[in-house]
Amino acid sequence: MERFLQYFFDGLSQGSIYALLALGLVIIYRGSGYLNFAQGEMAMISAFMAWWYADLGLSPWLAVGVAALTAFVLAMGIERFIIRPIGHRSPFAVVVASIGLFLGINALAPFAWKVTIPEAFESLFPNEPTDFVRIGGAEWREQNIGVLVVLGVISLVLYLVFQRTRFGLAMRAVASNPESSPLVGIRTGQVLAVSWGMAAAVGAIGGAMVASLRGNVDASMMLTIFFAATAAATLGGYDSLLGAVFGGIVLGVFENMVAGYQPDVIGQQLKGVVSLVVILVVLLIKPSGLFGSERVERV
Amino acid sequence: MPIRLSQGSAAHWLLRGLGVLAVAYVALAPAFRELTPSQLGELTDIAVLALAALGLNLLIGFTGQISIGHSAFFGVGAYTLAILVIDHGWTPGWTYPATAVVCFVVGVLVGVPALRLKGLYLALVTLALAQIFPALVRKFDDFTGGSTGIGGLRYDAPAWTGLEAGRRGRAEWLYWLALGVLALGYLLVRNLVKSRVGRAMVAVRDNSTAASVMGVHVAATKTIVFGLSAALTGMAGCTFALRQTQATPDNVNFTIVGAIVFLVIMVVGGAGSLMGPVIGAFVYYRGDQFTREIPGKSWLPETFRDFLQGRPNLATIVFAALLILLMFVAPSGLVGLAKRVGRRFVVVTPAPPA
Repeated sequence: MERFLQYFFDGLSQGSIYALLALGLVIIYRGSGYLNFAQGEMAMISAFMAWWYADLGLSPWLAVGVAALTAFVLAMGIERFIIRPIGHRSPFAVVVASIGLFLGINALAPFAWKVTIPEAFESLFPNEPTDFVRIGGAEWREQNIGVLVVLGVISLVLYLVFQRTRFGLAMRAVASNPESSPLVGIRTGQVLAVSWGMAAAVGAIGGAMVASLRGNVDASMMLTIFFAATAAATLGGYDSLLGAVFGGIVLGVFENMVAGYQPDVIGQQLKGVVSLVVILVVLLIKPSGLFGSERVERV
Repeated sequence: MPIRLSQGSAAHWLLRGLGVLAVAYVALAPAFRELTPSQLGELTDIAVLALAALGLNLLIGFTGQISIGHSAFFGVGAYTLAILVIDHGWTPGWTYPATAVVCFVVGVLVGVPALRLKGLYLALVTLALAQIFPALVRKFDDFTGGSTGIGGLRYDAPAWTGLEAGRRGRAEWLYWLALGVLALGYLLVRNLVKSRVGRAMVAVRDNSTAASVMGVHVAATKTIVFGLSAALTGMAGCTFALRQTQATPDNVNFTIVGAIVFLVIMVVGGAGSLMGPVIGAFVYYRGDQFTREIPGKSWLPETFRDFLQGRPNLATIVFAALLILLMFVAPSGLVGLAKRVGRRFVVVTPAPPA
């Protein structure tokens, strides 16, 4: 039981990070139907910004907030000046462009800050060896609880924005019917730009959480996490915010359990295989994911 | 006013002949020019990348199936050669057909579940494939040598070639081998695309429902193309392993980076164009080489050189920016761009039916 709880707690915080990234993927997918391959790298460079702002003297949490804001603005620019004009030409070109962004941003962080080794990142939560809560014999570290709380707050904010504001209504309208929403006076372009902004801001907070848990920032920190986040979004359904959160948590816990209980067969090395199997099984059995809406195709 | 040429006329053949000559001049350079082993190595690398992208182009460019996981097939090819040569004592040359078969089977195995997936979802699954390949190699270490990999791969030029035995001869032999496999792959793709099967592939790409109504067996077409594509890319992996003299899981070309590089080469050259992958590989390799050397160039202004001091990755950033720019200017790649510009000067009109 103790071991089970331990894997469960560790899985929860890992899953929260997957969920934060998956939320960004879903927000963009709902608006435009694109899979943003650069989502993980945008989160990575945002974490670098948070580290840099903190280095300039901002308090750690304020630095994360300002980094999220910067990411919001930059991502709006990316949508407006790169993705949208290219999207008018061909959807495949957007895939290539977002892979270009992936490559470029991944290379940009070490270039901009002249770093080749991981740089220390101050933890955002209490992180002394004694900072844990003991439940049923297992240690639930306070920083892991903190990450889960952050996911809860973000989910609540997103829920309120989408369900209780006019702008959220517009975003849902564009997601459900992109052709008709301009006819009722919704500025589709603005909605799409803000979707990218929101996705990047949520991703930035996810990136900061990763940096806080690892204790450093590094250009390669989001690579495997991004990949797991795509599996989480597939599991939850690509057009469901609830699905992204649920899928992230379930994948995180499941992956940790499998790796923990089968250290020889799977272990840390083959964790990625769990994501691949999840993607394949979901796509073959229920391609729309657990919470996604079925898409009816017309010939 | 553009010059008009009728298809099949003498002038048209002359134009085509000039194109073939230009390609041959670059490709056959080692036959009439004295090249150093490292220059030969560069040409070999270009031929390897071109073949890998050629395989990918068959899948994406002509059949419309996105794959961001071809590094896995590239890796399977490299490891097949390494295992057959080191553990079973095969002559490297004979491992090529064996590799083609192995990769074809692996490709079909991936292609069957891929039948139910479209567009982005297929991209995701293949991405996952690229992600786990190095992990699998490390895991099954009694078979693949784990993190250390398999080393000691060497292919001396066979006696009948008349090439010298040392490093130079090996480099030259490897280049001719890479070029030969590339030429065979090119002919295969060219004949396939211009055949009935090729028209079926393009129909599947453009509208699979309509293709199926017209009697194209969509599932069979997609699966077989997946296998062929994997086989071509796998054979590129063979030459790559010989060129590296080893196969290790840490090599970037076996990771997701490799998959992206192949995709990028295909796109830069022109998706769905026959010569695209070859031109893309050449431009990518030489461009990458050039930008890597920029920080040390003397023509750079002093302040700019100081700015670049200690900053890694300039080449990748420039390259990524150019890739995005290319999507604005010419989503159909350099070949598409050249065709568009070329039409201003020369227009080839189809010959009237006899």
